[in-house]
Amino acid sequence: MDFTYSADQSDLAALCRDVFESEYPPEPALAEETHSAKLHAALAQAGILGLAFEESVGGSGGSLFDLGIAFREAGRAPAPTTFAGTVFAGLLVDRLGSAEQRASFLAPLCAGERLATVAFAEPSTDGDPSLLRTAATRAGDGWTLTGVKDFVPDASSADTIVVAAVADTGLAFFLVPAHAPGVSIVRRQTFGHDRQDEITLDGVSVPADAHLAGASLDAYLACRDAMVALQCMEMLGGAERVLEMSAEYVRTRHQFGRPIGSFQAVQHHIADMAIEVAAGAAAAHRALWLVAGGRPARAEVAIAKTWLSRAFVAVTLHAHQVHGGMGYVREAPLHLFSQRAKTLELQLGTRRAHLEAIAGTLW
Amino acid sequence: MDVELSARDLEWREEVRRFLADAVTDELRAELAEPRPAGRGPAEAAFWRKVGERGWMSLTWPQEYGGRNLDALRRLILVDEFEYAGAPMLDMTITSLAPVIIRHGTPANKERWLPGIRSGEIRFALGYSEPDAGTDLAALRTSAVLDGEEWVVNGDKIWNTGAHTQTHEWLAVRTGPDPGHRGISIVIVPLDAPGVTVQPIWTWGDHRTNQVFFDSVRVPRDHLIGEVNRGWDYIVAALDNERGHLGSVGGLRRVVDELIEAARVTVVDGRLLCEDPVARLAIAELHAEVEVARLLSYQVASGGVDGVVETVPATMLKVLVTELRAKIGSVGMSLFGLHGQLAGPRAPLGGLLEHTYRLAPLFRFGGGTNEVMRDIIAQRGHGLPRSGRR
Repeated sequence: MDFTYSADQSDLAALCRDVFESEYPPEPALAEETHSAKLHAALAQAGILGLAFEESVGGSGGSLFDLGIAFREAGRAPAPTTFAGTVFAGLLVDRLGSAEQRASFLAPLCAGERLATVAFAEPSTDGDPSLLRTAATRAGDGWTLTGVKDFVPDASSADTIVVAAVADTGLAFFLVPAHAPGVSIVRRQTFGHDRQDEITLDGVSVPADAHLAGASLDAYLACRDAMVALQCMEMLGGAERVLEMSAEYVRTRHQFGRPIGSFQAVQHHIADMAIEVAAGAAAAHRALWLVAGGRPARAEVAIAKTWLSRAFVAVTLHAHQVHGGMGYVREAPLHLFSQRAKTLELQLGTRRAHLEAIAGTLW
Repeated sequence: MDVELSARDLEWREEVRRFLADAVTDELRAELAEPRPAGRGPAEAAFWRKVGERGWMSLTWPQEYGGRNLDALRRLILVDEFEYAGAPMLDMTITSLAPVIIRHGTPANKERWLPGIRSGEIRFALGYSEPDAGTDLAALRTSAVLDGEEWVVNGDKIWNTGAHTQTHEWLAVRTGPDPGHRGISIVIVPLDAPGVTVQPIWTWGDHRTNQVFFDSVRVPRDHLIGEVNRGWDYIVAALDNERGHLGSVGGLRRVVDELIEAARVTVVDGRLLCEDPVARLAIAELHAEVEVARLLSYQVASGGVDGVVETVPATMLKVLVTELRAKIGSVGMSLFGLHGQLAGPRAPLGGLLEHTYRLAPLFRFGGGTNEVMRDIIAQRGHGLPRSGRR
């Protein structure tokens, strides 16, 4: 048993941190943007967008574990949401697509020339595949898509939307150009000021090669486990950064003639944050390591999500308490993490959904 | 990175499980379930004989002292399995005090105490706390004064859990004029020595602890461990040896496993617990948290160097596991409604839940209060300034 990074993995973490910090300085006004073309180009340049994809399709030939290291660093930034959204779309195409689909879709994605997103949730369900209503019907050689997708991250800035729908074969995925006729996109008003969209598909025609032929429920669920494991690494990185910011603040902020970090009540906030983060690091890395090794890890992934979604929120609440007004103003970055913590808790399976998945392994 | 136990670790776990399957008998379970045990019963004595025959009394000792030099992770696996099986815990004389004698003791100390410890004939009770020196242990006042070739001990100790079952006191005494950490030594005092009085104290957790009085108790000069006035270092070293155990979750894993099984067959308000949406998720959460705690414990133990785990990670684990114990006891009892308050064999989980609930405070304030633990995490882990504590 060994929870340490290899030298290569540590180097990768340092490289990712350098890209995020130098290309995307933590200025809250900038961070409110959901996309940064400058950062995205740098991520492509450094091979981070293509980390988990083979070199034959334009990737860097790394592993899912390496990608997890990048997600941890993205969580610290906190990176624009187009990073995770585009990578998740790439993972689905990589795992469910044909050789031609992978090559034509992933090469521009790895090069930073393609922004993509995954459309799964609908008005009828946040994420249960059996409750999807969006219909894919065969029309000649191609398909027609009709339905409503909801809470799609950054659909408006994406050029391609990977749409989950129900076909005669069951769960199916389609590559839909964001500007195809019949696609209408309406921004949702979210508390986090991020970009999540409702997409109406009104008889949208797509060609046969838009259908990801390798899709199956099991293949999708395995891919979703990988996404959730990556998301856990992102939450971990965010929580770690908030802990560091908070410890630094209470070491330097003086009241009553002494650092507020010398008060026991304040120290205990920091200690509780540290415990949440330490346990979360173990849980997130276990989930990531297992999915990266192609191992079944439904329970371990759900356990990690259950822990980190609660822990990240808790850490931000402790942080607000020790920062007081200094962390509450919009010029300070703390609220960016606070809103990201809650948003990530709700995306890719709520805590409740993951607890239910855990319960499903018990009885 | 490798988040799984190695083949060697798994083999070790199997070896421990095979031993426990044989050694934890129904008689032993019945004896340990006695609400107010007078002391070590015959079944427990038989259990320790089997541990001794296996050569496990010196598991954590270096090989040159006849031990197996068990690393921190495999030590934790052992403790986990003992807890899970409901076996008596390995004596801390073996796991944390003997290694201090090996490392810091004089040749005479080693010759005098180690053979008896390995055979189980010598077992130390931990004589640290006093009525006015609890968390602030360095305020202790029990004294030992040299009179010719003997130390004369006067004072009293409290929360002395082993005083009625062990053979000797591992006694922290003041031997020098300096206050605080300096001027403390460790002296071994036989519990049957003239002038020692053991007075029982019964706790809410149904376990017996004691107050022990020392009235001009005389022990030979060479009963002092290591060097005079260096006792604080030995207390810290013993605590370091103990840290790997503080965060073991075998006992909690057992409670939650039994809760999961009980939920299959227990009907509350007309519904099986495992089919009640609220109960399902509550138990799933407890399961998840025990798993995370166990994973962290493995991580902490596997990150240790030379068998001594790092202080801050082990301290975080202690807080996490002890807070979780309180949650499991409380949430678990609530799931059973009015029946949750039952005690004895007809209680949910045969009383295991309510006992977990009653034991929870002990684990939170014992072994270093969680407040002091949090101070340590903040100060040593995150560079915060010292607070009021010395």
